Amino acid sequence: MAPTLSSIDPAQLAKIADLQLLARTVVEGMLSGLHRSPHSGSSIEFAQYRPYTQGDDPRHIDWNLYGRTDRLHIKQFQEETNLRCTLILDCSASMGYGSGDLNKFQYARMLAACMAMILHKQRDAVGFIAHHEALLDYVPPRTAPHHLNRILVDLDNLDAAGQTDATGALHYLGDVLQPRGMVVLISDLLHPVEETIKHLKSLRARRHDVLVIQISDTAEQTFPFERTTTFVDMESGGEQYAVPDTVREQYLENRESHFALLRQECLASEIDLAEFTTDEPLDRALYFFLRHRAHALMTTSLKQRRNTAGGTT
Amino acid sequence: MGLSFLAPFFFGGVALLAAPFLIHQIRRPEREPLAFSSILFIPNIPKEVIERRKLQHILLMLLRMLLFLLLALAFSRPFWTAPAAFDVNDGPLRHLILVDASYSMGAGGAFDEAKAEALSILGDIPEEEPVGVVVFGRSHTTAAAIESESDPEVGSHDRARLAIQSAELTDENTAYLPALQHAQALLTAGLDEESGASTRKILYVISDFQKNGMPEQYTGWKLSPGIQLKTVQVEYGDTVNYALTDVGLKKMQDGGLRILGKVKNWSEDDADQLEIKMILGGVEQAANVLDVKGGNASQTSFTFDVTTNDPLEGRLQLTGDGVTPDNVRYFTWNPPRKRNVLILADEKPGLVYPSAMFMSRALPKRLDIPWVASVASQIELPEALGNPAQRPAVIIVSGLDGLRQETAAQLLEFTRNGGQLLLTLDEGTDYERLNELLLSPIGAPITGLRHDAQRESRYEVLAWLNFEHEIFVPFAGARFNDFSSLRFHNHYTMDIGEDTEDLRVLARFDDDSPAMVEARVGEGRVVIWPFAVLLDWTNLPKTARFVPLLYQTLSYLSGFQEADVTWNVAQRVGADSVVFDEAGITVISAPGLDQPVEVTLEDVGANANLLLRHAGFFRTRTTTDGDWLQVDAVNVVPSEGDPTPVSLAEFELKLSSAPLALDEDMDALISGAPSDFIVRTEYGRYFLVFLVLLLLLESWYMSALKG
Repeated sequence: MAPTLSSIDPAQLAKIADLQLLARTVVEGMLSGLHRSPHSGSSIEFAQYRPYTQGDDPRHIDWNLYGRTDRLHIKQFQEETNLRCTLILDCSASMGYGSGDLNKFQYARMLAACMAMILHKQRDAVGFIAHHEALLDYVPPRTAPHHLNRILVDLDNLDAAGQTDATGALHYLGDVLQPRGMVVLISDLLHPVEETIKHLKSLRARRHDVLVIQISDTAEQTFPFERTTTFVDMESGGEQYAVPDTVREQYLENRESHFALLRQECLASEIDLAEFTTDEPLDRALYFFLRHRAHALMTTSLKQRRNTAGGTT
Repeated sequence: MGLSFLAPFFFGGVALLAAPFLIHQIRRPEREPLAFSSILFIPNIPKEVIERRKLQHILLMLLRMLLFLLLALAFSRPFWTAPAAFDVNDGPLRHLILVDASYSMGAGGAFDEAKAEALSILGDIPEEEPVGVVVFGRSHTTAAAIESESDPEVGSHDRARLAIQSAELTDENTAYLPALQHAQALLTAGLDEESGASTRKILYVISDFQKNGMPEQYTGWKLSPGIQLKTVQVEYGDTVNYALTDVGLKKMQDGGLRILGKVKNWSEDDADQLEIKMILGGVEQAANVLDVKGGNASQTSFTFDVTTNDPLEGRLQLTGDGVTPDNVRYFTWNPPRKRNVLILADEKPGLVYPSAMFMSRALPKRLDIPWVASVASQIELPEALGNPAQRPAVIIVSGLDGLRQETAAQLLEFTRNGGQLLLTLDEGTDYERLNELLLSPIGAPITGLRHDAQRESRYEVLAWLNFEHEIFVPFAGARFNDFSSLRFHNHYTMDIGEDTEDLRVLARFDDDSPAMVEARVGEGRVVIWPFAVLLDWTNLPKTARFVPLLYQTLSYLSGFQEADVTWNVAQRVGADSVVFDEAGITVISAPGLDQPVEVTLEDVGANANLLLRHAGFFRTRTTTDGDWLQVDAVNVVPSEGDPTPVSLAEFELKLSSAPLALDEDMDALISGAPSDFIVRTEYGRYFLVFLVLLLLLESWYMSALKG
């Protein structure tokens, strides 16, 4: 089977200058393999008939129409969801780091664009926040046809700079978002754990499904440097003289304990967290996102039913 | 006094010291920061670790700078001059003047200038101090000795002056080492340990100081520290010198000879229309014109037919320069020295192609074939062996009509007395009788016949040959070692295992049976081909391998070697180097020799040595072995024309351990005032040793820093 664009080396994919074109081609290529809607039930509305083709689920065949026309037709429904998803993109300077052809910010931007495209195609309301130490951009969740375009244009105009302060953005988001939505944080998480966890927990308290996608560079994971040098922090500008062979072990230990704590806290708060490196194909992160979205939809649906049942009794 | 350099140009390499400094400065870690996403996880390094690290890098830089310094020092070959540890200022003085009379001194009046310098030095020496004069090239002649107990005039200035004035140029090349050794012997002659230590000895060398006069290799010999060396260099300006540096003779396929002459232009200017003549037997035969660029060499060639059986004497000659001895190059051509070969074969009327026919046709009577072959039957063998003039060097047994008992005994006796035998077998040979009469005493009996009846389609090939054996050495190598075309439809088998001193297998068939065997019998040798040289037995006589194989076998057995002797002027010829191995007496005539000198094999030693003083022809005649005449060419050493000078510092350092006097010291010494002697020591090799040690240290230090 020929690889979809989403499974292509992200460094090659990044050469597509038009972010919208990139997202569309990736998402359409990827979604073509997904046959069934992850959600069906009372909240779907008839859309159209389509001739039956091999591979379609026989449960969707309209037998009444078959009785009238003697031909098999599939009954298609327009899905109606009330999923509101907000993408939060970390635009701090540390996201600008990349040891290969692609830096973390470029990777995160492509990922965000693809996620927005998927959500839009599924008729979900998609919103967007970009931040570093200040809030750079906020687009509230909408399903309007031109809404996606606005998000992609905003994404295209962003760049990695400034220091990280996700707490401000998360705090703001907590104030403006309606509860029971889905929040996706795309960040390298290179800031103190406690503040991040505190605000992620506050989102959970407002019954949001929270998904954290951590973007890393392979050099950050392995610290492969050889020559003794002075390392300069891309955010703070601070300098640290280091002999890589000597400090590598300690560096890896420090990093592991930082993210272990973060993973532990997320697990305790039912927050999904996964780490992706910039040399991985986009589809791994997108499938992870889709799985989480399906789960979020199911949860939302159950809650709605529960609420509805509660209202009638 | 102080530090100097033999090759000061290389000391410019000290500039390389800047390279490690620049690299360390440019690549300093703090000057090359690396942006990283976050230093959150990078642990702090204590300040003292950083300081230590900087210090280590400075040490590494200094180490590398030292490496480059040592490299530059080693190549610039520094030497240190210092006062000698002894003082001989108060003793009597001896002087010896060495005058270079090699043929290169004939250029531009250099020899006359040398003689004038020698007379000038002589004039500066007080009359009461003894002076000797030695004229040298490759050999040396004591023109005036320093001291003699019997003759009070020896050592006088008059004798020395006369010797200088009568000195003549030679055809020799320069060799400083034997001349200095001879000078040292003269200066120290008649002195015991006490008087030798207190006598001041001064040696003056007047020469053009060509580089090729230096010893080719370091000999370990140096002038005694008690001898003060004074050098005077004479120059011959821009003298033009062309030289014939080599002549080669090549035998051509049509029987003619091709002479190749190499002409070298030692000058810087181009030589146009240089005429080279070829003279044979004193008669000019041809002339070629050649252009030779300055400092380069060109070749010219002449061809002529050889129509005589006598040795040829010739020379190539050019004209038009200031140094004449190297304008002539002599050459000779000696026809191959003939050896008698007897093909022992009986008449076989019914056989169209008997093996003796192949043998005799392979050995025709020609000028360039070094064997004279004759055929005899078993009946005629006693007569052939009984005539000393026709006594064969090699007997080829090829096609006997049954081996007679008398014949076997004669062959054994012939071999035991130093004769050589090539034994081929025959169709229907009674090998049991052959074993009994001939092969069992040799130790190489035949064990059987491979096939009772041979077929065209069934044959053996040579599976193994001993290419290290003298017979097969010329066939070794990818172009000549393919013997796979030889087919042997039948052969006799032999059972010979490991080689011994007296019995060796030279080739084997692919059934592992020997195909060629060599046995030593008394003083002689037998080579056995255990097959018949007949066309229904083998295709060997039809292939191109037959004649070369037969020639190589005969060359090996008869001990013949192509005469390839070249002589240089001033070479000493010993009797052992010219007498043929089995010839008793050699009569020598040589250029510069007034009358013939007889040299015997028993007379090998100093008395038999003959000094070849001039270029020309060197003739030897054996009074046994057919009165054989051999002519060799004697030529000047062509490299003498090379004007490349040796630096005086190198000359003094290599040939004079110490002391060497500077000019001002010399003046002081001659007038009897106190002065210092000087010791010079070269340190280049020590720097190289240090360099290697430091390289090891640097690599170890680098790995330690990384670790």
